Amino acid sequence: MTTPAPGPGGPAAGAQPPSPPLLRLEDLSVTFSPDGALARLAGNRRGVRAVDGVSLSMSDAEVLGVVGESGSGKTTLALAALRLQRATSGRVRFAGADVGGMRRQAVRRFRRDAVMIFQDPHSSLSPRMRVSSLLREPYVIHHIGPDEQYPVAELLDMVELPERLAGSYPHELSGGQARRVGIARALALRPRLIVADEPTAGLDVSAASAILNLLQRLRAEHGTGYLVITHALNVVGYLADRIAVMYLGRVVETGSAEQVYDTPLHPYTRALIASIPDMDSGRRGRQQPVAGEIPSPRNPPSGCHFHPRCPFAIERCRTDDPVLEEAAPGRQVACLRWREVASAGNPT
Amino acid sequence: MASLNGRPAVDEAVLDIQDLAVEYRSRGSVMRVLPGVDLTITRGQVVGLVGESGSGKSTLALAVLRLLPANGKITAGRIVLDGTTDLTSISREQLRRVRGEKVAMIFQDPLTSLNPTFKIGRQMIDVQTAHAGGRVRWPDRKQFRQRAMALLHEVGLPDADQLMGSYPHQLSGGMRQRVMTAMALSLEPELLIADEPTSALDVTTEAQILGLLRQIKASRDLTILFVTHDLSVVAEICDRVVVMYAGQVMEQGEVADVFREPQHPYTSALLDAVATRSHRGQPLNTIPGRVPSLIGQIKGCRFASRCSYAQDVCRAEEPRPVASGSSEAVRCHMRDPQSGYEHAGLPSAAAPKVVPPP
Amino acid sequence: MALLGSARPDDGIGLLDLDITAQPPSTRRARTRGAVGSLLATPGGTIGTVIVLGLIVLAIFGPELAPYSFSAIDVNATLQGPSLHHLLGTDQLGRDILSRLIYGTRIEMEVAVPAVACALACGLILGLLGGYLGGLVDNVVVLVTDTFQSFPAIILALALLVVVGSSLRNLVIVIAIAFLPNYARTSRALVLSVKQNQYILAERALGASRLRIMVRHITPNIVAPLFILLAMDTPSAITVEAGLSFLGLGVRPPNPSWGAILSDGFNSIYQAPWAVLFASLTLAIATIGFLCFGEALRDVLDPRLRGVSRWRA
Repeated sequence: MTTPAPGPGGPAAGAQPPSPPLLRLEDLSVTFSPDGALARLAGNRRGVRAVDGVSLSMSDAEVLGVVGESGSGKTTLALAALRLQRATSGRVRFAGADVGGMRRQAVRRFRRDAVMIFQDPHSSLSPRMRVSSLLREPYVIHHIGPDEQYPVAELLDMVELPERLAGSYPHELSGGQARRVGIARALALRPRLIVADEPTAGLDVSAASAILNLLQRLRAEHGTGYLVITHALNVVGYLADRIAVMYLGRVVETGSAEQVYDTPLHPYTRALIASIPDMDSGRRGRQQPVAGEIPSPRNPPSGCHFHPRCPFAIERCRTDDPVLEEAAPGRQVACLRWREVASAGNPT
Repeated sequence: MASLNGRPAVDEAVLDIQDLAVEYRSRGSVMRVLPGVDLTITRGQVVGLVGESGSGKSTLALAVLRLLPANGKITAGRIVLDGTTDLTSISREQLRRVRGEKVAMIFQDPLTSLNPTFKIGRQMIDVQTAHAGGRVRWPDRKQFRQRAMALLHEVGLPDADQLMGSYPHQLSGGMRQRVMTAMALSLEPELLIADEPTSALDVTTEAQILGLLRQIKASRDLTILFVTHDLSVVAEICDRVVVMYAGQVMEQGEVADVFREPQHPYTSALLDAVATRSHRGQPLNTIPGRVPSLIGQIKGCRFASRCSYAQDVCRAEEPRPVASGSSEAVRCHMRDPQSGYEHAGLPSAAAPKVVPPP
Repeated sequence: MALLGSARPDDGIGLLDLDITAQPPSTRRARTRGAVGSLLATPGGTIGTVIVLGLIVLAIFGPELAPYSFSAIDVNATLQGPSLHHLLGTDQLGRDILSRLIYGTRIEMEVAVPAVACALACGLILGLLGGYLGGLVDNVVVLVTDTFQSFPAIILALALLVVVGSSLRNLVIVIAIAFLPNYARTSRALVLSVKQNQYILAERALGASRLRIMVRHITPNIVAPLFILLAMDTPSAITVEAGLSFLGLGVRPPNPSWGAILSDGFNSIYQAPWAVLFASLTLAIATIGFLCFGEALRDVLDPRLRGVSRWRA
């Protein structure tokens, strides 16, 4: 494509072609096939479609929150976007360049510019390395100045960790501390994109808020873009500029955080928002907004994956795969009946 | 439905924990996780035991049924059930009868709480068999099976028949949690202790399980002790809340009252720290510092090191629980008129809905 | 706190915060002291450590400690039993058995330990390449390993020695080859398991090269079991060497490898069983010592691998 068309919520088309989005996923699919390479070649459709034709885009310094519950494929999506998981089909473009087709040099450059913060802080730190060595890793890997002092102290300071932790091993750190080490390591080379997988999972209230504060501050200081993967709606509510909602491997809705929260267009989004516990209103008792549970990704329902649980479902929902269509500028939804959903209003 | 055999009067205490102390030993050091906790649970209530990690809430829950790990020990105090039985001092055999029949427990991760090698049906029948005492004959087994299926139905699981023949790993997280709840209910307990039952579940499933708990509580007149770190869950399902910090109860009271007008600085800091959409654009409130080490004695108030209202008296003396505002018990010098706490010069804007002492 | 699930929230309670151990566990001195303490904690561990240390001392200082030279022939004192002059008796050439056993310790250590260490090093490399790179490389590694492993160690060693001739160096090489497949297999299995860990993915995400990951991140996390295997295999290597020497394919006379002593003593086992008796005893003690040491080593290294259990309330 010559002129990159503005992606959902991307910069509006102006007189000159806008700079390419920071990250662009084009019809990305990741299928895990248990039968091996031969079966895959034969076009075997069995196997788990963890990511099913996802198209998303985000701009520089933007925070895109990808929201979904278990089985939604969001973690696989994150890994595929960073070329840590082979995509079955589709394309990932980073600043316009095709990530899948990159050669070794370009991949190394890519790994400096696009980094990941993992969900489980302890298991993502090499257990036999001290914190100081772990923080030095990015510099050593990319052959950046052995002559300069590696700024370990600076990095620790940046994530508000005391310097005495530099000599510790990962198993000696608390969850929050280990997470901060992971963040410091990710930020060491000032990346343009950070993919954060459940940044507050398993953290106490205060610690989670502290991490969110940290992420917000670092974003303000360095202008990094974040792709935040989470099931916690309060996290995206606080951090994200735009939200994409995933269900069983497909994106069902996108829009700005405001729009998605205030006027959800997809029944699943509506159910998610209704499930958010709400303390402020003093309301006792959440309604049970949706029946049943998420089906196994191994065996998704036909047509629209959500139809068995959907209060708005009609016959066509069972047979037709809904396509992500633009309901308004910057808003997309994959539902045949989004207009009815919109007029049903906010469930909370 | 719940049988009413010999149940005591409505507002009697189902569980009365008096001055409970629990220690853990490891490698020679002793950790006093609970120094002396007082807690009363009245029949028919849902009590939320809330606290962050290191607060001792899980230890307390496990101690009730004496399920502490090998290096944990109840060193003092009593846990009185129904006003008659002290659970800390009864024999193992008597305890066995209490577990399941009087007090039942459900845990956070049903995958590890259910035996992966036995089918659901077998496990549910086993619970009843184990408590039958004496020989179990075929007609009894049949009856147990019927009961198990009825219970599965009660917790909202369709296809009970097929479910009985499934293994735990074949079910989803929400279904497993329902199965565990059904198992817990098999012997008609009067108190259900739920230890973080929804923490590992998706938010939509969590809503369902909480709905289920509300429903069975109503239909069986069940008393529930709900242990969680999630304040919003407490707001949703609990009548009373008990806030714990570093092993002590800092504040207790009706949920609506405590959450509207928290009396303890920790409670109010905790409520403030919850990140929500409405905080967009501003830094979130956090609680500075860290939980103090529980090894050795702690002087003064346990929260003093992180409290923005701490004064010398807080660091020197442990506050005693007093009633304050609409909270039944608050452990804070600031709320204790007899504590010697200096109220003059408190920044009024910062004070968490301070109710001036009488 | 075994029953707690992974989704349990946590923060603020790191080991350093709770001061569970008396001093920060990460100082090298503290860890070494802790390690030595653990080694000596059990009776087996103490015995094993003492024996292994004793053997090492003998291997180094043997010649000074031995009362006689290993080749000192005394035709007047052949096939004698234990006496004041010859504590363990003499062999058919009047050589002092005790001295020969002491010198033999050095030979065993010079052969067995380098052989097994070599097997470890090469096996580690093969396991890394096969396990981490996978695909064709892995298929080749597995094929080679399985082929070599299908031969019983002694037969293989025998066959190779006959071909290349027996010298000390060849002996080491041959024994190394005999033990190599086990290390290759073990290390490959360990690599496959460590490879699944998320920190490997994290390093890939940082852009680390495959070589760096193999050397810096996988190897340190798999060597511990391999070292334990080394400790346990050393007596096997000694036994193999003794067997080969017994068959005449090991070290050349008059070098007093334990196997050679056994072999010589065998001829006169009815008149003077001392050589066989004491050589066998020495072999047995060495084996027991290494095995006990290996077990104690496993106890030291394993809990460290898992890290200290965390406190949750």
